[in-house]
Amino acid sequence: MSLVGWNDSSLDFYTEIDFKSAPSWIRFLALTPVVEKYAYPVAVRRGFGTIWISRDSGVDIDIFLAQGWLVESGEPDDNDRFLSGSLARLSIDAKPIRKPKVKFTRFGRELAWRKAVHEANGTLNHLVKESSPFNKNEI
Amino acid sequence: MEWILKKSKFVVIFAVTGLVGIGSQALPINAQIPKLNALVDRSFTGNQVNLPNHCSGRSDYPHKSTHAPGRVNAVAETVCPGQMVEVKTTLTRPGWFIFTESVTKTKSGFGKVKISVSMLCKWKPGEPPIGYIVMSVHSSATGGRAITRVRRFLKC
Repeated sequence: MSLVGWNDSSLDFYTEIDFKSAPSWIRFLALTPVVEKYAYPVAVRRGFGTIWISRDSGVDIDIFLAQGWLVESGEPDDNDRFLSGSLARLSIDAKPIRKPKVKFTRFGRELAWRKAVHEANGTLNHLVKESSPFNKNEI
Repeated sequence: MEWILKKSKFVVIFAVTGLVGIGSQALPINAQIPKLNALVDRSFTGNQVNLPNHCSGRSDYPHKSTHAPGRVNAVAETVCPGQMVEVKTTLTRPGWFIFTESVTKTKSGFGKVKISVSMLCKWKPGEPPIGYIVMSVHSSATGGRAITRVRRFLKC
């Protein structure tokens, strides 16, 4: 069974589900093993899913808009990348990463790894405040 | 004649001594030759090294390779102008127990270093997309360090 946001073909693009802004029951569903996959299409339908489509892609974005996705072109900016853990400033205070405990849901694992990366880089306070030291067009 | 030769000897010795004296004042023997380290962009505050603000590391999203079809590719980079930098990146395809596959590469360079890692695709039609993980350790000569990680699901 193909579920939007979980395992459908749109995942070939970069997608992000903002469970933090979603109602708590959707977040709870996303953190519940086995039934977690049903949280994704619900979140997308309610407008908490963002999809980044490459600029040279010729796909019809209406398909995604009809499903409820917020469509962006290109890739996430540096602020989003920093918060997700794929971009970081070098620091002399950085520590080796501590592997997080085993989590049984995709969202749970993602949250735990995000926290572990920011903890290792000494930027956990940025993650908590959802702020970023990167200016939008700096890099 | 002998007197003239003696006098000219004194003149030569005096002139050589004078020249050596002037030369040694201009460039003392123990003068420090500028070291390569002087070119490194860093400033010291007490014992701490202040890293330039523009030192960063990034792991880009894994994607299907366009150069080598049938492979998944990921790029990571470390940027720190004026310093030796290094990036060590691992591309992982998680699996049960011993079935996790990964490729690790390391590269170092001056100022900016970029590395690309890839592995063969394994996805078959009808299967759910596979989650690929890129994790990189970025470091600089002045002791700066950062870790970046990104995960993306691909039909690859």
